[in-house]
Amino acid sequence: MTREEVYATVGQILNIKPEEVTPETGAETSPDWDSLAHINILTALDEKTNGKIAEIDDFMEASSVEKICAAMSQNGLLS
Amino acid sequence: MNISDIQFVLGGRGEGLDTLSADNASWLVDDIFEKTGIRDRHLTGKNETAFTMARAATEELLKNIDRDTIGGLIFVTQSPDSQIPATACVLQAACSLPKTALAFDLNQGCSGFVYGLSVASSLIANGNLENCLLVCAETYGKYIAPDDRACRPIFSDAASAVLIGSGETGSIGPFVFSTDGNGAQNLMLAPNALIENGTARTRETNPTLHMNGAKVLHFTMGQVPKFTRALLEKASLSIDDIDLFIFHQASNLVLDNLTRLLDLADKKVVRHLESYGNTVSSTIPIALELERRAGHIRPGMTLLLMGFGVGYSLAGGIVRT
Repeated sequence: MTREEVYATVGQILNIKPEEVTPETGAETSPDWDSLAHINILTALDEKTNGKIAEIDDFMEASSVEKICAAMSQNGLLS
Repeated sequence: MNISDIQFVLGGRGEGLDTLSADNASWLVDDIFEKTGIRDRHLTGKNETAFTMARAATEELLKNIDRDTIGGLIFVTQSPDSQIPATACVLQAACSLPKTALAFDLNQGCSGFVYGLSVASSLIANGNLENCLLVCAETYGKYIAPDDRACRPIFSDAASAVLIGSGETGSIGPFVFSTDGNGAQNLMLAPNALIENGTARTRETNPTLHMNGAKVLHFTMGQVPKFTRALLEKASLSIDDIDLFIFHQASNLVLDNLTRLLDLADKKVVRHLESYGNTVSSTIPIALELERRAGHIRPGMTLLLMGFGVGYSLAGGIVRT
């Protein structure tokens, strides 16, 4: 996936425009990023990576866009 | 060897989405229902406990069985009426089972039924028992705060009683297991000195159930497909050889993701969430019985059972009917 696709996915789930998504967008900065949103982000990204997100051990510690991109990058899932 | 009979009872106090909505005005119960697939749950009343439900389910099972022939009783629970003695011993006496019977409690949650099935089938296979009762009962509902959005819409109280016998038809096993206590804090009673301090063992008063649903879902998505494939390999089977996949009925979200990740046909993935909820260790036996009543389980079929969750703990097994 590209970084832009991650931003678009997160924006779609949080109901905000992709251009409004920043690296800092996350549980601490967005009131809409609650546990249900986190679950939706997990499953949406997992579908788009053919199940690879579920195999990243500490993925659920990634509670912001920046941390998600870092986790995906470390596991070769971000182009 | 086979599972010859199953009975179950549900908590006597029903609770639907309307009650959740009335108690928590900010909850979007339609969205919650879409994720959970659960409309009705069954909670215990003041006078209902894991023991009383277990006894009721066991007595129902014993209506058609000579109780003097029972060789063993395994009682699966994480919410016993009392820590000491083992509820299995009290249940043995309450149900007038033979004094020669083996009886013990097994403390596992969502993996508990398959754990118990593996132990019971091993005891039968090695000749120590002719048959074994496997009784599961949970009352997680007693430990859930009214405003807990992660736990309250999901968990339901129930008991199930299953007879495993050494009959000539069918087979039970092989099994696979997985344990990862690093996930213990993601589904636990809190405060919990054992988990939070590592060594303290003080008894906590009025603990409540806490679940990090996102982390438990991630564990499920990461581990259940892996161990399903491992079980199939151990049994020299392919996905196509399995007639029904009976996973722990955690939530629709979990079953949707497992179906996707394993590329399973929807019709092979059993779902009985809407009217029953997540009854922890009883979801698999309840699903088995509901499928049997519907005529979907017939002799000669191959079933894959897998329980997973609190612990983290996972157990899976193959049952041939």
